[in-house]
Amino acid sequence: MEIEGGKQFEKGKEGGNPDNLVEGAISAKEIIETGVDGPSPAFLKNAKEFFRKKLEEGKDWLKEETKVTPKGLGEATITVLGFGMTTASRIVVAIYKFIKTAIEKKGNIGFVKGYKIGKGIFHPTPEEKKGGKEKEEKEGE
Amino acid sequence: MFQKQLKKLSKQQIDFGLRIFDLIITRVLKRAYLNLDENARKDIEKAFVSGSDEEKEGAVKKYIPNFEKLFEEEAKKIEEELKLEIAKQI
Repeated sequence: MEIEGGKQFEKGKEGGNPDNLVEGAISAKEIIETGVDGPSPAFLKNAKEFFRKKLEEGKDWLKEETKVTPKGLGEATITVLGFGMTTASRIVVAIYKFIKTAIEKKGNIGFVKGYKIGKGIFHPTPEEKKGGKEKEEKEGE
Repeated sequence: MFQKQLKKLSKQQIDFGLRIFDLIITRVLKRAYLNLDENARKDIEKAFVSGSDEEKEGAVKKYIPNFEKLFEEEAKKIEEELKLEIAKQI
């Protein structure tokens, strides 16, 4: 079983895929968080909405350069929020790398046939390949 | 370098990132909240439950001046916990 080259996983006895593992782990943490002492549920709900909104205001968080909105929280905090999503995404990548390493050590752990681990992270998705081709064609026009 | 990798994330992986972001934010706020005195807790609670965005911003600046440091610390913890959770299933 070769992973790096994007070859298929063998059909396993339990099925599932790496995305399910990540989904399950995040869900488990979300459930735990709801039962811990601290601010009220309304506080946390509004706070999450507020910080998500701030992320959206920093519209360029997925681009090379993070533009800063010099109002409200000010430059420093907006930068922190941009850094925040970068950090969260870094964790996503680190988790997929972790799964990939575990599979390399343990072999087939029961993922469904045809699944490519870390799709998009380690291998371009069909959409990405197609998008790239279309972009090249447009540029060539 | 990392920014290029970030662009490669699929829609689902970006959603995972946002949920992890929410988890980190929740932990940062809880941690900061539990370190505040009763009046400050009421103040920040009021700002986030019924205040405007400006009031929320003001409360963060006033009561969580070490936001970035807390965020980094909680991010590291979350990463390790998620790996541990996955390791149980592999």
